[in-house]
Amino acid sequence: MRIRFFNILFIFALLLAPLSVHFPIIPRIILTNTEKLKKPRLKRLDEFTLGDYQRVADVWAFQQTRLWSFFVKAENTLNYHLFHLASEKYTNDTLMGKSGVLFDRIYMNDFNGTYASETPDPKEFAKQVKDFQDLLESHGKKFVIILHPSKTVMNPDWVPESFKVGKPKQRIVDILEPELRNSGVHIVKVSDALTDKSLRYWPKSGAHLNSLGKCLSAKSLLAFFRTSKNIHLPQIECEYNPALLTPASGEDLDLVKLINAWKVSGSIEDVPVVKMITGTIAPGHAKPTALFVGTSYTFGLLKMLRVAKAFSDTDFIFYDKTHYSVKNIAQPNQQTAKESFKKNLHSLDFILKHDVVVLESTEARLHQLGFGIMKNVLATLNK
Amino acid sequence: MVFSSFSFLCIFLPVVLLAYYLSAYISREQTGKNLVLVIASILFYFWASPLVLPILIVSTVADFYISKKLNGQFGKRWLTLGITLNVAMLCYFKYANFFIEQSDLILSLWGQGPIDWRKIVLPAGISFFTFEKISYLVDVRRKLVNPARNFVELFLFVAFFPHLIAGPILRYHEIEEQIRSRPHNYTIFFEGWTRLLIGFGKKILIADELGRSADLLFNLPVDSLPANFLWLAVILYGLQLYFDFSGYSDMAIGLALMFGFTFPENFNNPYVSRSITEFWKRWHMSLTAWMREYLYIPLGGNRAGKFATYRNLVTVFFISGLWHGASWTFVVWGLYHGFFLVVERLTLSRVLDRVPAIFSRLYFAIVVLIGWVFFRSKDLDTALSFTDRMFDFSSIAIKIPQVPLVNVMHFRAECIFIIGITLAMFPNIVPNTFKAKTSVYKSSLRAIWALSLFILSMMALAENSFTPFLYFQF
Repeated sequence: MRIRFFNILFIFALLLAPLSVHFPIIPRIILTNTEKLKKPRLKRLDEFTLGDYQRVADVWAFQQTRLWSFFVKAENTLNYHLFHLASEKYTNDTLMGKSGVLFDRIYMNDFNGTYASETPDPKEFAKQVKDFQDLLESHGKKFVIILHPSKTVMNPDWVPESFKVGKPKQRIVDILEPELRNSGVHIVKVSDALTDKSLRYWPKSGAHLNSLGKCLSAKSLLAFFRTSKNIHLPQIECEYNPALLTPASGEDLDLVKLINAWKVSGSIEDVPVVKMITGTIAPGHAKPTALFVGTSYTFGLLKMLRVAKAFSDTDFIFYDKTHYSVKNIAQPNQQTAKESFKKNLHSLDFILKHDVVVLESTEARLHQLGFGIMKNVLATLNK
Repeated sequence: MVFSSFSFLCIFLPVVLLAYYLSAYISREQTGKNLVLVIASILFYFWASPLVLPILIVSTVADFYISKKLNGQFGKRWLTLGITLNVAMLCYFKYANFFIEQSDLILSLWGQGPIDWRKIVLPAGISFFTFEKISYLVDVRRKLVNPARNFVELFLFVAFFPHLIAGPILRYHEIEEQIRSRPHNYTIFFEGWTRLLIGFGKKILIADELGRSADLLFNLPVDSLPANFLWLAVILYGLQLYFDFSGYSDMAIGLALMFGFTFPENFNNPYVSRSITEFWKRWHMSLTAWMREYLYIPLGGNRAGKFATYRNLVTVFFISGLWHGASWTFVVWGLYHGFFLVVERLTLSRVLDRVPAIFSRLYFAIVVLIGWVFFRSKDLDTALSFTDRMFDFSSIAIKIPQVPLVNVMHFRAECIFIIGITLAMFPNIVPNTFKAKTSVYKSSLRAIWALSLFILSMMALAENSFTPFLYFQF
């Protein structure tokens, strides 16, 4: 009788997943930041004869069942709690350090100097940036680079031994930055403002700076224009009380959401509450327009600049993928338009529509500064 | 389709089980049940290797026809023809590409261009079912068995889906009676599915996990790795190979039991061996049995004097190496094992029997691990560089110079590694209830264990196809 019962249980276990497609045996679970495979279509016969179609079809079929997302979440939960892993996949970009802190893989690579092999010739690189800066300034525009530091480098106590290599190389920023400064390129280094060792400028659960870090980033950028005669931007102060914290939310939870696991409070910590004090500018000066080209760190920076009502019309080219633009960013409830990247965005005409041009980069990927905008614009002029 | 996939376990298998037991319920005749299995096997192979299915069917038809002639006039010639056709088929699909590559190499030495050749895709399971078809012909000729009564019976023996792709290699006389008559009851079915799921767990939870770490280490430049990490890579690979192959064999044996068939065992804790001789009595036992019966003994075995015995051993392992793959590394691997078998026969086995077990097991471990380097490497240069560096003890280091440990082995992999080593080298630690092969099959605990492994394995399978992206919303 017992054997018979378990035999039936086995058959039920096999059928549970396919049955869950049509019957709500378990609740539907939505996984964040992920896309399922599209239904495979056989376009060529060799896709079938070589087995490619079958492999994709198998995965697609599994993903149609409710159990698939349940199993994914269960597996991730097991990995998180039992093995202290953000993911068991070696190719996954989310890693877990000490005390449940989450990192983007780029930070670990930067810590070890892994990107040093991708460093371009420092002199050529600095010349390109300086030429670009000179070109803009010859047209009366202001240019500056803003560099955001790595979460690992600023928080080495969070970095476990398994993240470290036996022989670290020099970091890419340590190779390129001195050459840029020697060439006279304007650089704002956000790490210079993140000096209080008792404070955390990144949330445990996120890839980007917390609100305090973002405010200090915006403060650093605006401070650069303090002595400018033509560009009038307000100066800000970031007030905070170390004892006053608020639950992490929104972007502060981006990495923990990526894990797609249950009960991940070990990677979530309250974040500082920041009050921005905005200074005034002399009357009679119009707010400048701005063009930002950079990484996802720019979103946080722009959010703070919006609160500071620093700029009017603002364009942001995210990598070379997406173009965001907003008319008069200082006005409340202004909608941001979003479109795919177009090549004309890398034209001098478009750039010169802006009073201020800011190229944002992380220290880890400084060699990708501008994502081609400098090279494309200078190449067009050389023609 | 592979056994360890969603579509096989949750779609194909339930449908085939339903059709099989329905046909058993409708008619007590064996033919109906066998026909269901034949149709299922055809569909299985069509999904796996569609272009080769007609060749499998046609060659089995040829074997069926030839087997009717084997005990008549010119029986020996018919046997020669049958074996030649099967070997020619295997050589064409498996070795033609290798032969052309070597010819191109020779031609290039003479300044000639490569031969215009379109690479042949290796059909799944061809090494296995070719050997099985040869065993059928030889068994009939030897009068160990009668020729198959009908084509369905022969095709079932050759292409029954549990063993079609990766064995165990069956000999016809082991299966003949079961094709015609086999028992079905709840206990055998229980034994079958618990073994299937434990094998599934071995493959997904242990083999695949260790294989990922092994691949990552093997993909790094050899001279960038300290010697201790090279040894780690080979140990990981050796464990991956064992748990993958034995797990697959467990699944095949379990599946067969669910349909009333008893397949021979393929593995018997090979990593507890104290010599290479003992290893080959525990590793891929169905291949060893086939080689002994159809190659070693016909060559003379150990009955024609010492020199002939050693020659026969080396010959068998040369062919065994080649059977595993069309590459010089496999040939060297086979000859390497043949060499140690000869050396152990000559003198070493007497020494190994006398020394404490720890020394003989250490000797065995070193020999088999170095062999696995050749088995894994893409060419001889890589294998030789790898083994050379393995003995460069001055390079030993706690960390890899340019690669963080988390990139090649994380904590989960470390835990699985310890479990894998323990299961492989100290199997007696594991209670019988939890082992794949056991006599303790009437057990609720075993059922719960098997079902738990199933769930954990399905979770791992789901996670493999999950790819989150941080900048998804941008």
